[in-house]
Amino acid sequence: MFIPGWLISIVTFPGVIVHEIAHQFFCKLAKVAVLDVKYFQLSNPAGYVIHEMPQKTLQHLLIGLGPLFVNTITGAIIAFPAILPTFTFGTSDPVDFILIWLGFSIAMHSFPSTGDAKSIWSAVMRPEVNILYKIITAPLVGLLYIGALGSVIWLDAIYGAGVVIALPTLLFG
Amino acid sequence: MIIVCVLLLYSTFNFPIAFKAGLAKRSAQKAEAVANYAEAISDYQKIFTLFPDSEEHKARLAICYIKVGEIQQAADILKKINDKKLSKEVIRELNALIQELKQNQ
Repeated sequence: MFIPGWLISIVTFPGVIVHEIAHQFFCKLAKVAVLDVKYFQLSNPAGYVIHEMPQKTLQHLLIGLGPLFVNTITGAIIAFPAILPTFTFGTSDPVDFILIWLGFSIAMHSFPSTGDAKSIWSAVMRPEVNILYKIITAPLVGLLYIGALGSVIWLDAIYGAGVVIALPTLLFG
Repeated sequence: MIIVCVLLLYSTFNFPIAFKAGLAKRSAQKAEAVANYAEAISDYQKIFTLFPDSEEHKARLAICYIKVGEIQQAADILKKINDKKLSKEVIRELNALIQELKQNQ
């Protein structure tokens, strides 16, 4: 089913905002200057962080992978207290549905964009990067690339639902 | 962003409650599977305290009470249950137990 990207961005806008905040946070953590930030806008891309070129591969990885961890953990924490009452204990209320939507929106935007993935990939594949480092990080970055491209086939939504609904239901359902 | 932070705080506050209830549910299921009904009762009571409107788990608590012979306790719970919210499986199990009790009397 084709749903325009801008519509998905509007419906899941908290995820876009958290994704950009995560990029910005990891830029600061990696001591890379942030030049411009747009947390959310109604055009493509829905949000962005422009920063100076990181000098080290680790800085690239931190900035690129930051949202994967921040969005996944934040989405899971927000939705978890609503998932069990809704799916396991049958005692949900309207706030639970808001929490599930919010958690899903945030978890869905965990994957880096294709731009992020491209940037991480080129950083890891630079000739000066140690071969051992490449062997360790390349499969992970490759997976992220697949994840970024996979949004066409709803991989981001499947991941979001997996983190927010499937994981707690499998653990405690 | 403020709303997201407020909801994150709300979720963080409620996280341990849901986690405890989830653990209690797993523990209760394991205890019931090995016919350790005393432990299952204790776990279902925890769920009952945390989620008093969970009809399915109230019914499971009643089933465990029947299995240990505390019929009055089970009857008190069953009186308060909204049976429309129960799964067919639990209703079948309860009916079979009640039938068994009637035959024994």
